[in-house]
Amino acid sequence: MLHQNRSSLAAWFRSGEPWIWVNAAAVGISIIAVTGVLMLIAVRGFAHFWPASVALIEYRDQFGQTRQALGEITDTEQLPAAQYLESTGASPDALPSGQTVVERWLIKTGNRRVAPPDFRWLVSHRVESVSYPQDVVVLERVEWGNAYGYLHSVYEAGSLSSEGAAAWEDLSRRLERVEELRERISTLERGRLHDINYQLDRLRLERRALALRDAATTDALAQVAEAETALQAEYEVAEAELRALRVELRRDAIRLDTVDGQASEISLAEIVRAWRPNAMSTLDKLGQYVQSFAMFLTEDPREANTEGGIFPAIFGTVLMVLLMSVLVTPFGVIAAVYLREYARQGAFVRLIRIAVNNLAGVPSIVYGVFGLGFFVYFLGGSLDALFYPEALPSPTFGTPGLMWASLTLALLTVPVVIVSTEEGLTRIPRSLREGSLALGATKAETLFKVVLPVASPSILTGVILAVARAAGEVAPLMLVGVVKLAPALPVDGNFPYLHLERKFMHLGFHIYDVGFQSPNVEAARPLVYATALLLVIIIIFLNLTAIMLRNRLENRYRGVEG
Amino acid sequence: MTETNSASRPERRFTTTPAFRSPEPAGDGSPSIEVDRLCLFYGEAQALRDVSLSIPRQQVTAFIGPSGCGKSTLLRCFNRMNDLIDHVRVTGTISLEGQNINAKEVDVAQLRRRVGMVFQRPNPFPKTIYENVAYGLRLEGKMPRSEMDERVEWALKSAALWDEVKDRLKESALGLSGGQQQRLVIARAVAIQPSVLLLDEPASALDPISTLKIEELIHQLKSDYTIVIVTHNMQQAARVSDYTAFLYLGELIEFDRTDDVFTNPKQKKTEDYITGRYG
Amino acid sequence: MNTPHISEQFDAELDAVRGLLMEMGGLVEQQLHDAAQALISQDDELAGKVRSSDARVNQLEIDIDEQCIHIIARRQPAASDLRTLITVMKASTDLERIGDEAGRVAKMAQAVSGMEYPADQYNDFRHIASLTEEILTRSLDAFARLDVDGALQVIESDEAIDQAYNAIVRERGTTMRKDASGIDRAMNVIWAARALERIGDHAKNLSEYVVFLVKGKDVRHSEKRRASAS
Repeated sequence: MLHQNRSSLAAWFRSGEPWIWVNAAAVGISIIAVTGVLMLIAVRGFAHFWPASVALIEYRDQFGQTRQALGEITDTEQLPAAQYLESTGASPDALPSGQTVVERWLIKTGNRRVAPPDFRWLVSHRVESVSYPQDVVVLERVEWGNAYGYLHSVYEAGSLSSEGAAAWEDLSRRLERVEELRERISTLERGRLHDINYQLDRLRLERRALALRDAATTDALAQVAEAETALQAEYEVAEAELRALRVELRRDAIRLDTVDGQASEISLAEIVRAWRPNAMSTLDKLGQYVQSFAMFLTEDPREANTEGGIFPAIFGTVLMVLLMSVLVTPFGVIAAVYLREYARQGAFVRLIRIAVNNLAGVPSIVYGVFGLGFFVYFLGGSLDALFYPEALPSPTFGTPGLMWASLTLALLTVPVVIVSTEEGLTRIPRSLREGSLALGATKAETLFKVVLPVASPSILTGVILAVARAAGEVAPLMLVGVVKLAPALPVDGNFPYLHLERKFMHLGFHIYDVGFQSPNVEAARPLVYATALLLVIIIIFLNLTAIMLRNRLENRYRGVEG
Repeated sequence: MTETNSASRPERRFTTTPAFRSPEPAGDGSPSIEVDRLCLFYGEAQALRDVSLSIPRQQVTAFIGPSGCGKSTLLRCFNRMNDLIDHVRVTGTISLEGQNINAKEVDVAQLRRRVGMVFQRPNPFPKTIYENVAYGLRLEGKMPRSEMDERVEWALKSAALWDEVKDRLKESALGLSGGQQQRLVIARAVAIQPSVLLLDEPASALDPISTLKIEELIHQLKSDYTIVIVTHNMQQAARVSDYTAFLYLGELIEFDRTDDVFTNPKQKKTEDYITGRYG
Repeated sequence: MNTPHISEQFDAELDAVRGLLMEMGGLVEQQLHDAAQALISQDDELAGKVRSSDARVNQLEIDIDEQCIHIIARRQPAASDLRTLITVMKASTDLERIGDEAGRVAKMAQAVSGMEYPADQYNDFRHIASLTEEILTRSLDAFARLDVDGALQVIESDEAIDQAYNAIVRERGTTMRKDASGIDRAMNVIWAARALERIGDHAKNLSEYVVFLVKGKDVRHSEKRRASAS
């Protein structure tokens, strides 16, 4: 019986079945890991935009006095009583006897200006009651984060406009007006004023340039001066318009009563949005949710990146990756073509190939250092000296910027493109090349008309891998062009439209910055998830695009290698 | 009665003409390619030893011999395909229409346009049927659309493929069957109107029916082109060729009219090879 | 010829068909001998035996043709193999004819068997019979050994049979004119001699096939080609 069992077990092992199980398990674990990461990011990231209900909590403080707190319950956690007592230094009788586990809640109370801190822990056994009053108002402010309280009254230019129940309607209406004003200010600032400033700067540089070229004739100078005066006049007009708009923006204000009875006056200019979460239906909340998400995608960041949107970071990431692809593809393909098609195969080429493969393993920060030293300081410095002497000593290209970041990443990813292009070239059957050569095509004609098109799926595979790597890379970018907050997008309406010398924002760096460099970690955490989610989505999107393109090409050339 | 009888009596004559080849060369008999004491080395290894022969114009010449005997190597000398391989050295001369093709001033691309080649496996480009045939024409430079169409049609007709593909010229050539692909490749070679066609085991990857179509095509093309075919199928050589060269270990053992080689070879090595005694 | 084929089966098939031909040759040789002997010794029984063995010869011809066709269809023979098969097929036809002619001689033997034994003891017929038997034997030997020289000699010596036949026709014609009573016998002897002369021609054909088989040259109907083959 035993013998029978053992032999059947041995047979089971011999059959290879266990091996299949091990394989399946490995695949399963990988899938769970990947979906786990994505799920975590997705749940945390998406949840951030849901307008949470605001709770009114009555609790006793350590002196036994009853107090109130108003805010969103963002987290609950349980910890052993001993640990709780030790960490707070409270006496054991602070806990009800026999309680071994303490539950505590993290309440986001906002109101950072009038009643800091904006996050506080509450121990559940101290809580006496939790209610959700309908008239609680949440204000998303331009500065100082959210405010929670009760709307008392609305003022127009210092005088009372409405009070009590009517105030909410009034506020909503007035916020719409403010939104419109803000829109106009933004258009003015980013449009006309930005352009005028840009042109003024160009004129200043032109004058410098004239002086440097010894061409500063009175005529030329006068021309510059004339243009300058015209622009100045234009600027004054715009400036005045802007000032008027700002005054308009600050006209209205509200009085908000906080839960502990303080009254604060808040100008409508400071308010981005206002909502009453406890009075909202699910559908309302959904609308709010969509709006929040859209704002996150399209707006500039505020409050040291912990508030507002991440549009510049998305834009910067995508633009940088695209630029990198544009740079790396021809470079990698040409290198691979040389190595595979033209170079005499031998020890030297083998050596180069090994070097290229190893280049892919160099830590990315090393590339960052190289980019800074070679591209930024050496190449950029030389470019400045040659083409932009008028701007010196302030550097144009001699400082980290979009172009250097793209170039550095191109350098970082070029081995991937070379390797996969080479692989594609090797896979092309010799008969195909010979077919072309036998028709009297030269080697170059064969290369461009037959070999490269057939190898294009492999080239694209290389680009896909390069994009995947480049989009996720942060470390080298910190040295060669990414900043926490870029003053302007690298693309605008002024010639040459794409400003390669500008610094830019990047989602990866944004995550790092918000998550670890932010003064308000609790407030920033959901943003980290949301941003990470977005980064993943963008990378997936970029990859899917490339993969679809590749599949189409593969379909076209299927059967060639058979 | 007698009338009906005489009318119904079949005439006694052959309705099909006998398929025997004319015993005399159809061309003017002058050689198209002349090979004189050709030796070829791959590095140190010698692949061809003192090969001399004259390929007659507008005839089919077959190279037969066991694997590695140098028959493909010899064929690839005629359009200098061996140039693509590193460390190849050639001595002796090959003349095409009296001109030394290994001379320095010869443009290899031009040579290959005069000496077309078809390979063992069908190798159509991953393009449309039309573009495959037009490939060689486009290399010549710009050409009016109508002329291009005409020449593509002509080439496809020459390769006996037109009727099968005329309705799907814009479809990928990779969708054709193996035999059709091979005829497409022949059309592609014919399109640029070479004077010589080199066929390197053109039917070895095809089924018997496709093979017969290719052989029939070779027979038709003979009137316009000098054809050299490498084959390891001796029956095929016997069927399609006018002259047969037997190579063995890089040497030309025998070169004679196919009829003679296959009924009464002069050399024992040839005899042993074609009767299946090569061991 | 001495190198074996890669396919042993092919060798075996060729050997088999050659063996059949040799068997047929032996059979026909025996027929010829017996027929001539039957006539000379006026042996009716022996003549009957010759005529009855003809069926076996015919069957062999059919077998040989069938096997040759099979080999050609399946092996696509070339060069010497092709020549061997073609030659064997043709040779079998000639042998079958020889068999027929031998039968004819046997028929004459039966016709003369009832007659009184002649005084000349068929001397003239003995002569041509021995010539014919010899030439057939030599032809078959040349075939078996692929002996071109032997074959060429056979071709040359065919002339002797023709002369012997002409002599018989002349002699017997003279005799008939002298003595009408001997006409029956004389006619039979002339016909038998005529058959032997035919056999000689067929034997010569066999030798010509040997030359074709070995040299690949067709030496039929031409002195010159024969000369170049030797």
